Order: sequence, then structure tokens, then C-alpha cells
Amino acid sequence: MRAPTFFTLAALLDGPLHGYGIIKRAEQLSEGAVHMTAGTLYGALDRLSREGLVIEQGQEIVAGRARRYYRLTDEGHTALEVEAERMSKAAAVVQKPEGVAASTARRRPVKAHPRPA
Amino acid sequence: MSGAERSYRIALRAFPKQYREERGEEVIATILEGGDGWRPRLREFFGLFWAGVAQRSLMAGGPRTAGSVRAGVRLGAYALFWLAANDATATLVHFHNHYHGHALDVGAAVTGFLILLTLSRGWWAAPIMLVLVWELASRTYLVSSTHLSSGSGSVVHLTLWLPALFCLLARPRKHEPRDLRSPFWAVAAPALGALMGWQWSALYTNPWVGLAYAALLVGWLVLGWRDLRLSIAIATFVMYWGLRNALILTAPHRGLQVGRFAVVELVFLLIAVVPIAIGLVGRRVRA
Repeated sequence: MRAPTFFTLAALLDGPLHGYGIIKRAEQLSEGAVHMTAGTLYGALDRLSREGLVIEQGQEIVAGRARRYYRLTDEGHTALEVEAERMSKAAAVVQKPEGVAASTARRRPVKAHPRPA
Repeated sequence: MSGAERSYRIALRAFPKQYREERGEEVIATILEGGDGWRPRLREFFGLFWAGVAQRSLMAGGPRTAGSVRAGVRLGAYALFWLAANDATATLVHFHNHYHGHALDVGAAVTGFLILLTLSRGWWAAPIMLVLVWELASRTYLVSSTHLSSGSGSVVHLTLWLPALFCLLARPRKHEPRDLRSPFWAVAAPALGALMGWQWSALYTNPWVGLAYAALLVGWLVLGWRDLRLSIAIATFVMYWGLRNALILTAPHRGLQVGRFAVVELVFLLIAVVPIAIGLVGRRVRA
């Protein structure tokens, strides 16, 4: 899952949001690392809707324009949790180098090579 | 309407009409909410335009196939069949105009068309059988002929065998759509091939050749946006001529005549390859 997709889903954790709300929330959650354009956002929303991870929930008219709200589905919650878990495990590997060394050592037993006298 | 909104609405034209009607106002509202409303932001403008092109490509391709590898193989099959069909038609026209060809070329052309027609009916296993028959017939002819070298037929043999094998690899599974079923293929391939044959005899001196390129461009603008296959066809067509021109370009006495067409072909290549690339990315994302 790419960062914009992940943060789009994460932005909807606290409840339904409209397009601009999602962009701002994603930027806030990623501490400014992810700043989506509208094109990126709606591409992601279309894809997530097709996959059943996000669903439209009502709309309102603001200044003569439609403003749709989106929310996470149960599948969306699950996908986000799975991705977060995966990222967490991946991060743990890097953050605990001794863990990597230990697991590598377990897989590759060191053979003793006696030096010739 | 502010200048920014006007600019974004221009970029919004890149989206398909149906999408614009459903989501256009919402997209514009989202962008304007984040800006000062008067100065367009380039990042938003190009982001919107690019997303629109991608959306067109996604909506053009119909139902997606399961994997990017299969999609890639299928694209390869498309491209090679276009090459084979165009080449076969060009051979026919050239043979008809100059009578310098021989029966082997005509046989290859007929086999190429039969393959294309069977594919347009969705018979994916037929090409390999047709190529087998063609191979037997042509070998018999070569053996009985006294004035033809066996090497003269090798290129056309390869041209037909390779796509036939690709075709078997790209054969759709039971529940997948058969994109090649469209009759568009059976009509457009000979038309493009005839154009190639005509151009070959014109040898770049006929001013109508430029108009033919323009007609292709118009065709791409009208159909290509919605039909990825035309883009693939044009890419194949352009690559074919691009390669041929590159060879001619190396000859010093022909270089200047051909050079300007190489530039035109480069433009065609770019506009044809971009939707294909986007289509493949779309497939990979969705897979």
C-alpha cells in the first residue's frame, strides 16, 4: 500500500470526512510528509471504493457545490490494521539490529574452519 | 469564475465526460478550498490533468485482467499481431503494385489475415494451427521451387510464429474478457497495412502521406482516448516505420528526406505510448 493510500485510509479513522478534510488530515497525520493533490486523492478514493474499503456517506451543498463525505468500511478498517501491523513489523526489524543479527545467526550456523598448521 | 478555477476546469477536461459530470464539481471544490482561489497552483493543475488521463485509460480498458504479467504478455501479442498484420497487408499491396513479390509473401499475408480474423472471433487456439498449416505448405513450396532461397521465407515465418506463440500465452482464462473479439481489429489492421504499402510505394515524396499521418492523429484523438487498442496499433505502426527509417537514415543520400518523418514518428510514439504505460500501471495497481 502506497503512502497516500495508507494515509487516506488513516484520515478516515476518526469518522467521515470530505475531500479537502481528508487531504488536511492526511497531511497532519504524516507530519507534512504526504501532501496529496486532488487528482491523487480522488484516484485513491475511486480505487478504495472499488475495493470496498471506503464508501460514500452523504453529501452537502456548500457554496453551490456538492461536498461528498467518505467513511471507512469494516474491510477498510481491517486493511488498515493489517498494513499498520506489517509496517510495524518491518520497522521493528530495522530498529532492533540485534534481532536481525540473531535471526541471521540462527539461519546460518557458523562452521569452524581450522587453519592449516 | 476565478482564473484558478478556469485553469482547473481546463485540466478537468482530461477526465472522461461521465466522470466529470459525476465528480467534477466536487473535485474543483476540493482544490479551491485549499488555495486562495485566484492563482492556479501548477502542482494541482498537472496532478489533475494526469489523474484525468489515467482515469480515461482505466475506463477505456474495460474489465481488468488478473495480473500485470498476463496483461503485459497480452500487450505483446497485440503489438506483434499488429506488426504481422500490417506487414502482411503491406506485402499484398506492394505485390499488387509492383509484382515483384512472390507467392510466399502472398501466402504469409493470407495466413496473417486468417489469424487476425480467427482472433477477432475469439478463437485463441486457431493461430498456432494456421501457422502449422502455413509452415507445411510453404516448406513444400520452397522445396519444389528452384529459384527461391530458403532464407527468403525465414523472416515471414518468424513474423507469424512469434505472435502465434504469444497468443497461446495470452489466451484468456474462462471468465476473462476476450479483448481481441472486437471487429475493430479486422477492419483497422488491413487499413493501416494498406496505408503502409501505399506509403512504401510513395517513398516519402507524396504530399498525401502527411495527411495520412494527420488522419491517424485525428483517429487517435477521437478513438484513442477511449480505446487503448488504437494507441497500441499506432505505437506498433510508428515503431515499425521508425525502425525502417532508422535503417534508411544511416544511408547518407536518403537521410535528409527521411529525417523529418522520424520527428513526426517520435511525436506519434510519445502520444501512443503514454496511454499504454498508464494502462499498464492501472492494471498493476488494480491487480
